[in-house]
Amino acid sequence: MVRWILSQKFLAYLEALVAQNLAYRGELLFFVLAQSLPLLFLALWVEGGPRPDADYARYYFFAWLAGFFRPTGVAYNLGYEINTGRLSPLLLRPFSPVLDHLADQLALLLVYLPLAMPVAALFPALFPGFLGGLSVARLPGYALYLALGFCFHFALGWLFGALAFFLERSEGLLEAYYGLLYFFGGMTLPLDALPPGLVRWLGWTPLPYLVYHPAALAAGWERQAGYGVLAGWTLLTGALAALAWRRGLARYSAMGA
Amino acid sequence: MRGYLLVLLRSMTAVAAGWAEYRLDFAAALLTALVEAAGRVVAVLALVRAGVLDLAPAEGFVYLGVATVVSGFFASVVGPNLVAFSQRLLEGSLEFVLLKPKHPVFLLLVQTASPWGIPDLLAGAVLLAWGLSALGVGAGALGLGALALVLAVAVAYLFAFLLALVGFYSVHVHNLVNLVAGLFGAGQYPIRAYAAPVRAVLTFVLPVYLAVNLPAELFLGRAAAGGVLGLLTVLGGLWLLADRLFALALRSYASASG
Amino acid sequence: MEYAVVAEELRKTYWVAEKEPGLFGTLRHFVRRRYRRIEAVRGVSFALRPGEIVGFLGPNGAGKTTTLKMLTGLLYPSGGRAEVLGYRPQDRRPAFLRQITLVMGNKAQLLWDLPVLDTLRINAAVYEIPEAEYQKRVRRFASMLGIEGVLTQPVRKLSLGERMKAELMAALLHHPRVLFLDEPTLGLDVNAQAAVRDFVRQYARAEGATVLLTSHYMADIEALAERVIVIHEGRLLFDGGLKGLVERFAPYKEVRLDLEAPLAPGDLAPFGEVVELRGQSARLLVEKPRLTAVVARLLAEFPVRDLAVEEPPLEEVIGRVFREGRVA
Repeated sequence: MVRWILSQKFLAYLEALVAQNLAYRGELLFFVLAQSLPLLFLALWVEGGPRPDADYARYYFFAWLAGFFRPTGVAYNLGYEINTGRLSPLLLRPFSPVLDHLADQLALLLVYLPLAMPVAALFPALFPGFLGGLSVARLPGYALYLALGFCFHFALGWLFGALAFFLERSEGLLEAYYGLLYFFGGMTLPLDALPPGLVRWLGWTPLPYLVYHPAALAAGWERQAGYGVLAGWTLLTGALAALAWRRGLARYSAMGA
Repeated sequence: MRGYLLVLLRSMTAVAAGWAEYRLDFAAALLTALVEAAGRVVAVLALVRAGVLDLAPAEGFVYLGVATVVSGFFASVVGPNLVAFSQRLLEGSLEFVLLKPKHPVFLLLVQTASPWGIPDLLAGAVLLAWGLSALGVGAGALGLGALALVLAVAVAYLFAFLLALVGFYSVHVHNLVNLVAGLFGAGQYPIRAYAAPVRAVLTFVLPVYLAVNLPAELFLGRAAAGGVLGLLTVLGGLWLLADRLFALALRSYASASG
Repeated sequence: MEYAVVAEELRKTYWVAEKEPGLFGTLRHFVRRRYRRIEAVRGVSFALRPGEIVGFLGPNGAGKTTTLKMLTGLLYPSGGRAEVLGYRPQDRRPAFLRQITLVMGNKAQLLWDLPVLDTLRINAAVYEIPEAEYQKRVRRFASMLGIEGVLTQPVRKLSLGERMKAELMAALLHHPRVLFLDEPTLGLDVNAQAAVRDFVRQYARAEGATVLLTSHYMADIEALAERVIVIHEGRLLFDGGLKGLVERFAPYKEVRLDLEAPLAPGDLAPFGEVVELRGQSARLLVEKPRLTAVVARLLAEFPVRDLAVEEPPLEEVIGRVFREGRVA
């Protein structure tokens, strides 16, 4: 599996996926714009918040950027393949269909990042102190958060997609999760604005480590490391996903689909 | 006019009959709405406490309630109908709408509805009731606000329809509707709390102030009753625009199987 | 009104986007789309009298559907004139729309997940049909089509034949005076085809309705239409009686032979076009002027058990017309 990912073939496959994704030119733009909606909250803080504008700009920039490293649609696509029986031909190939989705998400990342650049360029243009407060030393920590977050969300999508083997529809539940992430992960508000009791409690969930802590770290607001909690959640989710996938496949083939 | 009302009524009863099969999804949507409502309440309280919003919490709930109702309307009515519209364009089954002796735009706007917005509609109503009762708002403002809310929702709907009409060639209408709904979500706080450029966009480019803030401010007695007239005028203007643009789009419309 | 439907030098040209395969093609399609011009209809003229039932024939892509769409106001003609019941179709006036219908065998207006009656009720509201009248029409149509039992079932559970019959009910509920039927029997079995044909004929006779009908099944045309209009590559090929069509395009007779002994494949070639050769029996098309001579020689040269001369099947006639693409 790993060897396949590192092979030439995988690159060719990735290229085809990039082409496929580029065909929906309008959609890509919309995804980038939709990802940028939480920046409306930035427009609130710079108008009435206590910190300097550039501080908020840095926080929201990194919170926004993290969004592109968050695989979405894995659960939906897997569930669709399972429910419609399209999974069957995919199972005949010499690699797991899950890898398809991994490749697809990586291809999407390659497609989105260049499109996000014009929006990114707005930050230093709109907020004069933006670049001054950045530090390269903080970026590896941010990148580690993003990598862990990517794995966590991919595993989560895999898990909920695999649930489609057992339930007719399962993506609906994931919507509720994204609602939690949106409000309690730091996408809309930095968590230090929420009641401290609530934030302490949230610290045991993966939510703050997906947006708030990475963004706050990269923006230079704090130096707290919570990689362990997120790694734990990722391992747990991945294990559950693998289990659900294996059990589900057995059930799927037993039904003769 | 009576004819149009009957079409609306019959379309809606037919559509509601088709909902019964998706109970699990509905439960999930309810859970999502609960999570989001909780998130919004926590957020508005946090913003009030941080001094970003110059409001009493109950006033914040009124703004939030109106925005949540609009969001529910997007999920229940705007999205499903515009998606059905684009599907008709792709499949070339718009014909059946065009062959009917009623205004095609009207028929397109009332062809379906989905239950997914109901949790948001309920949550919005609860927030609104909570805020309004805490503030002890009088019957006059209540009536005015409710009327404005109905008009505002229609303004938002026609606005989204116009965007879909212009954009259906290059985008999935589903994404477009989500984006527009998200932008209208900015109206969950008073527009004047945003930085000046954003404020300008949300007032003049997108009718977010008109379609979300104005009803809330009429409930709160912060806007003059004349605002209702403004809404009516904009609504009429949008309808004329939709009518003209649709006729124009039809001229270039050639369905897939020429 | 002398004519119910008029097409005069009707034209339609449109543009379609093209995309080349591969990453380069994708990128080019992304940046700049290329378009190709399609001339779907290139100056077609005909007129239908009120109450006439006319077959509209042509191979796939001949421009039939495009013409029907122009006559129903769905497409703007690029040139020429269309007139239906005195209206310009593309104005799409409610009074015009209330008097016409278009049935498309490959498209469905019925709401997929809901019973037929739900769509019918919505249509009744759209066309402002009074409740009592609506009930009467539903009962009458349902019994004519023999689908009383399925009106309360979701459309997705109906058979193709039942669904098409229900589509016809929905399309004719408002008692249109002009019917445009585009492949109304597409994919139906023989019984369902006959039922649809009978219904259309009965309706047209009872209401004095004008019908323009396209179909790939010649049986539909033979059963319903006395007059046919043939188009090919956007141009009018023929307009006249069914008999005339056969004479014009098939100056042939079909000779059926039954022989005492099997034939070799080449034996009959000098006499005409061999359509079928199976052991001791054969069918061949013979040009009319040569017919008597050919029959005499066949009788003289082969051990004939039985010989019959017939009109060739309409399908073969039409097939020949389209293959040769002859313009009238």
